[in-house]
Formats: sequence, C-alpha cells, structure tokens
Amino acid sequence: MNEIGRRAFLWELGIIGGAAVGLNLVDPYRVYAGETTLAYGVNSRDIRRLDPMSGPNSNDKTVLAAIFNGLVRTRPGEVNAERLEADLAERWESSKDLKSWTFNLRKGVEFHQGFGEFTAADVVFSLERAKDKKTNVYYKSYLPFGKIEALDKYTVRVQLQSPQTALSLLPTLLDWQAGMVLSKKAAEKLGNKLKTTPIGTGPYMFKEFIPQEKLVLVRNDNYFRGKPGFEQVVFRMLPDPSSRTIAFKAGEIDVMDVDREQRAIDQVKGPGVVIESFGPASVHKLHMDRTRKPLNDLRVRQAIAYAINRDDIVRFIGGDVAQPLFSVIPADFVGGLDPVPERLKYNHDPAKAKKLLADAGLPDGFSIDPVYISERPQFRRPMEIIQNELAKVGIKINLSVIAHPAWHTKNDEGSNPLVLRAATRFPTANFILEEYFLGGGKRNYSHFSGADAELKRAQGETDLVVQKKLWAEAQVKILEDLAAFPTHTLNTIVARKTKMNLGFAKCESSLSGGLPIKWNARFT
Amino acid sequence: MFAVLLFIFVVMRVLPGDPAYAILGDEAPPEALEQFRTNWGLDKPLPQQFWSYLSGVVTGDFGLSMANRQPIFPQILRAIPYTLDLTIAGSAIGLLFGIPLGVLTARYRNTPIDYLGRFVSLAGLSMPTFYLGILLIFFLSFKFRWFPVIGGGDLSDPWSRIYHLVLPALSVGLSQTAYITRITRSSFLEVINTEFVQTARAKGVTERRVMFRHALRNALVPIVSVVGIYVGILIGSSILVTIVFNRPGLGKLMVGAISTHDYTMLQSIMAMYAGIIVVVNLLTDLAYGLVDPRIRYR
Repeated sequence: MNEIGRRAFLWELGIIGGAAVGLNLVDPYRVYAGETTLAYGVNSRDIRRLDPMSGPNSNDKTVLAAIFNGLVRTRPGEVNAERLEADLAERWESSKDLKSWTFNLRKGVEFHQGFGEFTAADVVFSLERAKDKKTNVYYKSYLPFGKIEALDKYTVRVQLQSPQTALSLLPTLLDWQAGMVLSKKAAEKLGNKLKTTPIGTGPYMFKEFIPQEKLVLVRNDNYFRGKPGFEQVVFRMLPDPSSRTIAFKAGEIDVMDVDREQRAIDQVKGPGVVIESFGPASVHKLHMDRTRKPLNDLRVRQAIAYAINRDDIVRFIGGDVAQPLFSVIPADFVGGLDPVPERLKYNHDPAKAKKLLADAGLPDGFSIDPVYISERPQFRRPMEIIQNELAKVGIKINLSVIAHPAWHTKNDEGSNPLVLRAATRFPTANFILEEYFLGGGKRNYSHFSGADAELKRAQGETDLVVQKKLWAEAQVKILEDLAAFPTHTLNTIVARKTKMNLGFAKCESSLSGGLPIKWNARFT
Repeated sequence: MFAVLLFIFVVMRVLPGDPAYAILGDEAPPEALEQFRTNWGLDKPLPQQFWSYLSGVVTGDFGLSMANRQPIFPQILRAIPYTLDLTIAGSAIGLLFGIPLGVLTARYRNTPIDYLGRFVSLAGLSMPTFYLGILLIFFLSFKFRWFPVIGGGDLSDPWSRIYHLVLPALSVGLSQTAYITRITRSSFLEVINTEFVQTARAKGVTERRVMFRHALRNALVPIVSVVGIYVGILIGSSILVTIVFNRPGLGKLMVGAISTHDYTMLQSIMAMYAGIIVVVNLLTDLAYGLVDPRIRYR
C-alpha cells in the first residue's frame, strides 16, 4: 500500500510538472503584445457602444477615435477649442453673420472595408443623423443646425438658425462623439448593424469584438495621413487592477489604464514605464441642496465650505493625480475663472466655520441623515474625508454607501442633500455650467438659478471676450452663493511602455479620456 | 422552471440602480439615459417586460445584451467551453490528488503521514481560491514567466486552451483536492473497519486488493455525490478565479452582467444555469449506478 500510494503520487506530480515544463518550452502564446501589435489593457468590463452617436463611454471613445475622423480635430495631445485644426475638412469659412458655414473637404479619402470615397454626401448624412433625436443622444448640440447641403462632391454648407462662433460650432464637428463622420453607403448597406460595425476613415479598422474579452483593430493601409504604425491594436478588457498591472509588468500589454490613486501609480512605476497624467480634468464639486433646511441658509453652506480642507483630499489621493479646485470650472479650461478672488476660495478655516454656524443659530452644529455616496473609491474616499472634517465643526453627516448606479438614481431624483459629483467634459466652461447650474436642469442638484441671465446671454454671444466674461461672472455668482463647493480635479492616468512612441510630443489632454492611438504612434 | 424564471426576473428588478447609468456611464447626457430606457422597454409595465422575456426564453431567442448590443446566445455559447474546461480540469485534479491522499491518510491514520495530509487539506480548504490564483500568477506567471497572466486561450486551438488553463485549473483543483481528501478519508475509514474488509483480509487477499477492490469501491459513493454537488458549485464559484485570470466563462459573463445591471444577459445566463444544474444532478445520479452495482434504476 505504502509503495502504491507513493508511486501514484509521484506519477501525478510527474504529469503536472512535465506538462508545465513542456508547455513552457513550446511557449507559442506567451507574449500577446508584440512588435507590430499594440495591446491596450482597459479598465472596463466591456466595450459598450460602437456607434459614436449612441452615448459611448470613455473606453468606447478611445476605440472609436482610432476608427473615425471628424471635419476638424484637436491637436494631438491637446484639447483646446481655440486651437482646433483640419481633419476631413481642409478649410472652412463663415458668412459675416456667422449663420452660414462652408467646409471644403479633403479629396481622396477612403472609407474602410471598400465603402468608397469620402464625399460631401457622407457629411450631409452624418450631420442629418446627428440632428435626429432618435439616432443621436447628443442631438441637443445640433439643434441650431438648419439646412445642410452638398454644394458639390467636396463642399458642404451648413446653415444655422442662430449665429455660432467657431468656438461653439467647431466642437460639434470634432472627431469625437457625434462629430465623427459616418459612411452613407455603409449605413444603407448595414442598416441597424451600423451600430455594432463601425466604418470610418481613421488609421485603424474594426476587425472583431469578443464581448468582455477583447476588441481588435487592424491597420488601414489607405489612411490618408500615411501608413499607421501598428499592424493591430488590441483592446483587452481587464477590470481587475491587480491582474491588469501584472499583465503589464509581464509584457502582455503595452498600455494600461491606471486607477486614479497615487498608490496605484506607484505600483506600476518602474524602468521602461512612462506614466501619462492628462486631462481634461474630472471636476469634483460638492453640490448642496439649497431647498433643504438648514442648507438653505447661506451661512451654513459657507460653514461647510470653510470646514473642508481641499489639501487633505489632494494629499490622500496623491499629487500626481489630484489638484485642488477653486472654481467649478478649472482655470485651464476655456472660460475658467482665473484668478479666483481670494474671498471666494473659502480656504480651510474651522474657527470661521463654527462662528458662521453660531450666527446661523446652530452653535451646536446639526446633522444630515442620510447622505448617499457611491461605493466607488473615487467618490467614497473624498466624501469620508469631508465627513470627518465636517464632524470637527459639529456637522454630522451619516454616510450611506450604496451601489454606484443607485447613487445616481438618488441624486437625480433629488433625495441626496450633498452630492459629490464628478464631471469630465469638453474643456470649455459652458458644458459644465449649463449642465449643472442652469435653472431647471436635470443635474442641477443645488436648485440654483442665480446665474441664468449670464449663462443664457453667453449662449448667444458671438464675441469671445464678452462670452468668457459672462462665464466668469456666472462662476463668481455660483461661488458667492455656494451652490456647489469645488473640491478637486482628477487627471486620467495611463501607463505605457517607453518603447511606444505616441507620435506627438506630450499628452496633456485627450478628448476620448484614454491614451490617443494616433496613426504615427509606433514602437521604437 | 417558470418559477425560476419569475424569481430571476423579480430579483433583477429589485437590484437598486438604473441600468442606463450602469451601462452608459457617468458622462452620459440625460437624453442618452432616456433613449436607453425607451429602447430597452424599461419604461414599460413589469408584466409586459416579463412577458417579452418569457416568450424569448421559450422560443430560444435570448435577444441582445443591453450592455454591448451583441446577441446573447453566441456570447453564452462561447463562454461554455471555457467554463467546462475549468470545471472538468479542476475536478480531475481534485480526484487525481484527493482520492490517493484521502486513502493514504486513512490507511496511515494517526501517523505523521495522516497529520501532514490533514494539515495540507485543511490549508487547502482555508485558502480562498482567488488568493491562491493571485499567488500562482505572481510566482509562475510573473516571476518565472511560465504561464500567461490573462485570457483563456484561442478556442479553436487546444494547446492554447490547455496552456491558459493550467493555473486557473490548479487554483480550483487544489481546493477541490483538499475537499475530496477529507471526504475520502472519512468514507474510507468507515469502510475499512467493516466486516467484509476484515473477512477479505482473513481469507488472505493481498493488502493491495483489499484496499482497491473491496474498500475503495465501497467508499466511492459519497465521493461521487460530493463531486457532483461540487461541480455545480464550481461552475458558479470559479467566478473569482475567472476574474483574477481574466478568463472567459459563464462566471465572468455573469459578474459583468450583474455589475452593469444587464437584465437581458443575466436573465439568459440564469436560465441556462438552471438547466445545467439539472443536467449535472442527473449525471451524478447515473454515476452512482456505475460505482455501486447495487444501485439500479428502473
């Protein structure tokens, strides 16, 4: 018995060991990332939407940005509405009244998969689709669009119902969201399948999508700017941060999304690794419901502001990721308030907070129960710091940590008195201001309407200087009223191997929210 | 089955949170969320939603996943081989190691071999499989670079599948081993003290024959039922392992569907699961007859 047991055991050990060694010698699957394949590990379970007009999230947008072009584009590595450049349009001009814009298109650009040459008909088709509420979730940005016509094969004219400056019009024509130009022929042939089969003119073509696993793009040899640098770009869905990090360190992926925490960055850092920290920043602000007692008292809102130490939040998250924020629009956005008046910064001052509470008739503080917060660390951790700091001046908030989508529901139905909401938006002031601070808006959690006059005037303003001034005035009013207290911004963090050349000097910001895969990116 | 489907449907709706937000993300404009709810019929009355789900399941049309708009059935079909690979390999490792180890510890009860065996099996039971998975990845994939970190291999290439299977299978297999060792040991201990084993020894049958022909065969029945139950559990509990190894499979599909409130996908997987568990139970019952000729079905 003794002999048999030992023999059986050794046999089993031998089989397993032999298999391990044997497989290691064969090793055909060891390295996924290669010299001609770029493997990008994304922090997502899945790619959700492949139709640019159906509300893609940031990972989807990173994929789509490699497939599509717009009439105009941001400069590589920089998102600034005042510094856009030509993409599928070679040049453009507007009528004097800014109500008619004419675009001259690039010639000889081919759509993927043999869908023919890109022409004015495709632009007309795409913009008509963008105007339609049924096909484009961003249709509101296209409401000013009137007649869109092809003057000839390579010229398109867009008539507008109200005058639009380049600053407000061109972002709707970017290689982003509904500005991406679709193929009319592909739409006619594919019908509803167009939503899951992206056909563009970009440097990489859609090859296959295996849900929750990977999405593969292949090189578009006919790309109009030149031959793209990778044969394939593979996006791998790796939601677990530890396996994503190990896969990156083991060389199975070349680029990876890094969690927005210093700790996560430090784990990835090392020789041969570049950490990219870029915008547009995710703007975090604490909305206070001005219709609820005692938050309806300005002195109470001010007390909350003075009690919170932004530096503690930034220190906790880490300086490579977070920055303190003093207005609801960061200073580096077009239209950001710069400088913020000292009195409106509400720098940390617990004594002042206590005095304000006493003035408001609440010398012993008060409590708010419950305050809902998402279970995601990005929201929960700063909110716990805020909870701790408010407690020091006598304000007790009872945090109820709930699932992320459930938290959104609570916010939207108006049952959360303190909403720490983040927003990553196009870096021009109007996007965040109109979404969160225009009276009656669905996400106006503070129920604030004190800057409606400035915001509405800015919408129709064609003089950029005046427009910026109006946005600045709106921000001052928001800060004076403390409809929301700006806390901090977070950058997007991506790690890449040094051997990957981005094709441009530096990634300061990215429209998609991921590392841009430009045509001239390659391994060096 | 109707009750199961109704239960699944209700549980999904009770989960707090809006699928539109869960799927489209924080940056989705309110218009996108509205369009999503209309497109997927989430604004319709619940009985109407249940009816369309039920008629889909009955006609075999699972429809599209709300999360990624891809047809559900091919996604499930693609996941099943990976889940079966892991379940079969994990159980095979468990049986291959667990039975001999169980027999050894029982045969040498209260000797250092027994203590060692029991200690190892206790350690195996106490260690969560996902933690073991992380340790395996760290040493065998990261330090020694013997095995890949992510993925399940190419479905059409058996070698690639086996190569990607080794570490996940070891993670679940080792905890299975611990479990089977304990069951085998206790079941074996019961049998070797019975009269027929003593009779066999008394009439001069060799020890090897006593152990394997008389004792082990009779000790197998409880082991089979445990393995049967465990296979059912394994299909679900390998979820954490599939997450750590980023391995495709039903478990991963399910976790993804739960986290995004993908009603359509989750309802389909659960219906599928219910079917698989029924089949596994049937196979387990049939296996009793194989290992013990006294059990016969009419």
